Amino acid sequence: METPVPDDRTFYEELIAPIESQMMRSIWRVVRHPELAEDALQDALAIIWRKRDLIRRHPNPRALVLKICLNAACDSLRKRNRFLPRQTDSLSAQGQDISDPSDVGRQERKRLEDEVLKAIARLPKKQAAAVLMRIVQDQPYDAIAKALGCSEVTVRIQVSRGRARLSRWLSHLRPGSLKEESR
Amino acid sequence: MKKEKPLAVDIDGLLKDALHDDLPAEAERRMQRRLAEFKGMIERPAQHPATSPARFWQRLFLPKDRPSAVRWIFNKQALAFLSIFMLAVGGFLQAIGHRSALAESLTSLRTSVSVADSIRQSGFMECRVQMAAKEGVRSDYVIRWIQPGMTRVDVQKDGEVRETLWITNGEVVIVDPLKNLRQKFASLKQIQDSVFQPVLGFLSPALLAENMDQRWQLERFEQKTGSHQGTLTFTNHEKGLFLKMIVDLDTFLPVQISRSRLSAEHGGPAEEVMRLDFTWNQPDLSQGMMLPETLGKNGSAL
Repeated sequence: METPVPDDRTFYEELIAPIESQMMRSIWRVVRHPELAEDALQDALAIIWRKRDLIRRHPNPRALVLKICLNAACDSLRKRNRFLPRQTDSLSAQGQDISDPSDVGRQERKRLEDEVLKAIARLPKKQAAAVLMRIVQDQPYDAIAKALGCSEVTVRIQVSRGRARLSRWLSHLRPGSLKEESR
Repeated sequence: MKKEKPLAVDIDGLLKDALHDDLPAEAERRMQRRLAEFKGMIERPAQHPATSPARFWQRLFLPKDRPSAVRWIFNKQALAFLSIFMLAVGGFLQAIGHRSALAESLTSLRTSVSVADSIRQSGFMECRVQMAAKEGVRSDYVIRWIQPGMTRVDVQKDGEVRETLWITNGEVVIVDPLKNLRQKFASLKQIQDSVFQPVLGFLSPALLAENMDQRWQLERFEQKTGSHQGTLTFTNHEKGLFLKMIVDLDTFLPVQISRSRLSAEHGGPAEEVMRLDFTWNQPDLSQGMMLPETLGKNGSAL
């Protein structure tokens, strides 16, 4: 690793430290497994370090950092779905610490979470990032547009299409079922 | 601004609820540790030397600190592109049956060496040599490798044997049956200017193989698809000759050699001056072939 220039020393304090919690939570909300979340964060940090100059110059660096975290989380999700389809349940169960088989409600909730995550993993990368930034992170469209490097209109279209696809794929789920179970 | 259309399923609610913010302590601890390492790496880079193989590979494939050329070489996308490109080129070359110059050169050389080895190992052979007619008179030769160390060459004009050359264990004898003369020579060098000069390079397996290895320059090897024969092409610039050797690829022995003059214009063959047809069988000795021992003494009449 090259010796950091003075700007690099302040990079963390200025840009990462204020959004540490948001970064971790963004990744967790998609990955939902401690080890995979740790790996996804590691990947995201590697990309952040490599693109630190770009991030510094970016009009909305925090949105870009969060987008990188979301992308790393989505990549982890896709890899898990692609390479470890049989381990998903056990990994998820480990992450959620569902050890009591009698806890049917929690297991049912886990199953529904997995279905949602699989649906998100099926979305195109940019569309998934737009949907998650908008719906999960509650970011404004203009911030998403800057983070994704496209126009606000494009983001709206991506979010709309993403919503429509998810709605189609998840139409079998009973609306509000998760809310009822989580109460 | 266009209002977002409500969907049959409350996707926003479903996503927010399914992906709710419930970061567990263990996951937070793990990620905090990663962030602390990252912060430490930025602030104290010297304390994090890349020593383990995993870090080495990580550095290789996250090569911010590599020179641009090395970075390109070890860039994953570049490697993937290169692999696909090489596969495509390989498939294309396979499809069109193209062979590289290097591969062709190696094949030519391998075939030539195999043929020379097969000739060296052969014990007997009969070869009919047709020469281009000179001033209307045509002289042909029949070369017979009777056994190792024993060769007989007949010069024929108008279908009649005029002279016979015998080589037995280094002893060279020329017999003129018409004049009943026999001449003995110490070596082949002494008959360089004789009527046998055109076939001196074919008098024994060792001589022919030596010519192939040392005197003739190998040009190329060609083989037609499905054929059991191939053609080796040689040039002998010293004597201005172009040689085409048709080879049986089952035995790696020559079937025919055609010798032409080398064209000064295009470097290829001009008119054919000599053709040798080989038969790799034991020569028939029952046709009144005389052995030198039955002849009279050196230079004497029969």
